[in-house]
Amino acid sequence: MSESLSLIAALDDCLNALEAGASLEAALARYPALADELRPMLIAAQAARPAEPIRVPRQSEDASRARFLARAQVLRASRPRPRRLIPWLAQGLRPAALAIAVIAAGLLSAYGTLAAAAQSLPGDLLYDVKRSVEQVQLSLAGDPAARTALEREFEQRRLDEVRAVVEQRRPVTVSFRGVVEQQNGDRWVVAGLPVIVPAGLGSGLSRGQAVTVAGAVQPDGAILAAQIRPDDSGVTATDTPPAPPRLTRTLTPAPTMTRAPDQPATETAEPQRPTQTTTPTRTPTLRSSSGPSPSSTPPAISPSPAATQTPPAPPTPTSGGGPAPIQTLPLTQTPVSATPTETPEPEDTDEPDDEEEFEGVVEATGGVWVISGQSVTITSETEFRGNPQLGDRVKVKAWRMGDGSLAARRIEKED
Amino acid sequence: MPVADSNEQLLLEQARRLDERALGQIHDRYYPEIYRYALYRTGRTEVADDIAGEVFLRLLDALHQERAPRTTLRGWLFGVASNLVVDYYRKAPRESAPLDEAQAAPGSVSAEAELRLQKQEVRAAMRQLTREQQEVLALRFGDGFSVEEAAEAMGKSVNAAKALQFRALEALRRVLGVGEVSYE
Repeated sequence: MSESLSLIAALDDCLNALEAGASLEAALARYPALADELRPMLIAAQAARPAEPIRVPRQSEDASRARFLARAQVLRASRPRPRRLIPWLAQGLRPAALAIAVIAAGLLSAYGTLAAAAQSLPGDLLYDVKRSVEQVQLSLAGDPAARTALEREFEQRRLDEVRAVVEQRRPVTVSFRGVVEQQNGDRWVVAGLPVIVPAGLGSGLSRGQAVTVAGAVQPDGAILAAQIRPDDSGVTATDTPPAPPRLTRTLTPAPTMTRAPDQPATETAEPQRPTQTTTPTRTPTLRSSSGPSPSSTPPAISPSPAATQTPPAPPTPTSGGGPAPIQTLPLTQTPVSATPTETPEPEDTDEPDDEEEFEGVVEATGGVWVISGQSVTITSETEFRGNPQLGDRVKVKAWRMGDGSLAARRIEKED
Repeated sequence: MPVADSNEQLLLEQARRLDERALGQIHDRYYPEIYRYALYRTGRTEVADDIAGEVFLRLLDALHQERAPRTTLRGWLFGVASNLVVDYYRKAPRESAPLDEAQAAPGSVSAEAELRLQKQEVRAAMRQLTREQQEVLALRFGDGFSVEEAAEAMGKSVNAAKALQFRALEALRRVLGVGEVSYE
């Protein structure tokens, strides 16, 4: 068949006519001299055309969008942020950090503690110095026992840092290791920290399993996971006695570092990147947005085995020794009426007084949900049904606590 | 070579900064196109789902590593999608499933069509075309693009896209045996 410009143009014109709804004969009638050549090609074109336009499943698009934006947030947070210092000073600080660290370690290790220098958090300018000091301390540790003790201390410090930046809603990337304590749709609790796990991530992971989470801290205090995978170190879930089931009455998030009684740490389901996971015998590594690593998914930290060996504390109010409270702000950034920082009176740790039920629209999520203006605390006992999200209409069953606040027993999405 | 219009240039510039709003717009604008393209090429919804999602994650990586698209965003995205389709067939060369049944209403084939071929036959025939020929048909018939839009997605001139479309349909006609003279 000849391939003339007129035939090529005529074919495209006929295809457009068919697309617009014209019949084959009507399309061919526009080019009677070329009809014999065009006909079989148009027939082939009709065979190649789907009978109906291809539909795009909304669920697929939404899931992809969530993964896309979550990943973007992690990458954004991993980019160096502008420093407040003048550029030459900021640039010179990194090499200077090591020198400062050596001097500081020399001074501080004499007292056996780094507490005075341990106030910086991921995202702080001095955080690099803090980490460098720890490296120097480890290298100066004389015997294996002392080194192990230091490693445990630093591992616990890493987890405390994650809790602190979550409390502050600091938009940094974090990575930590812990046990999956709750799975309510995309709302998980890992090591006592609220984690949003977008669809497609975390498949195959179950409650009680030790995992490594890398993600970005959100404005509402949750950690939006960019990566969550099984942790095969065994440190997190092997040494902690199971916590007895109990009704959580406090305003703190679920107890940390606990696991389900019969669910030991699971073997990793996928190979881990060696540069992103540390073993308990190595220096724990937590990278923040201001850290030296350009990696978009920062390495995991290794929670302190010492911490995991500590028997779970009995339920206590926020003033107890449990994890730091997770303070949640609604999206409007105005404090909710009942924030978790309020410390319940001692008598409030008894059983709840009344159960209440109401309906409303989810206005904010996190450690405390706001539902049509009503603040409800999420506890380890809260049951989610139907994967409620922001904007959904839900039915809430909650306990009225002694201090007047509400602790959610169930939040159910309404059809 | 098509270039991005000013709006897309602005969107791309914002995307380079990983601006959430710009990225959201890009996803909203292009995901359906990429999904339809991938489904047309592979015939499997789960594969189309994977490919479309992966295309956008690769876009993020490119933006983050400052390897942002230099021509048109659409062209870049379809280029990645095309590579992923090739990878898919390389790993699963026997895959030649038809479009999901849900995508094709039974009995809705045009009355003018003289050929009622099974979808598998058409798909098998399509796989005998060159990569570019398959791409132009996927864009024209899977996405419903005009030849101008297909040209943009493929990084070609409109005339080149028209010629490619002609050769693709001629090749498909030949493989399907449409219009062959019978001497029975």
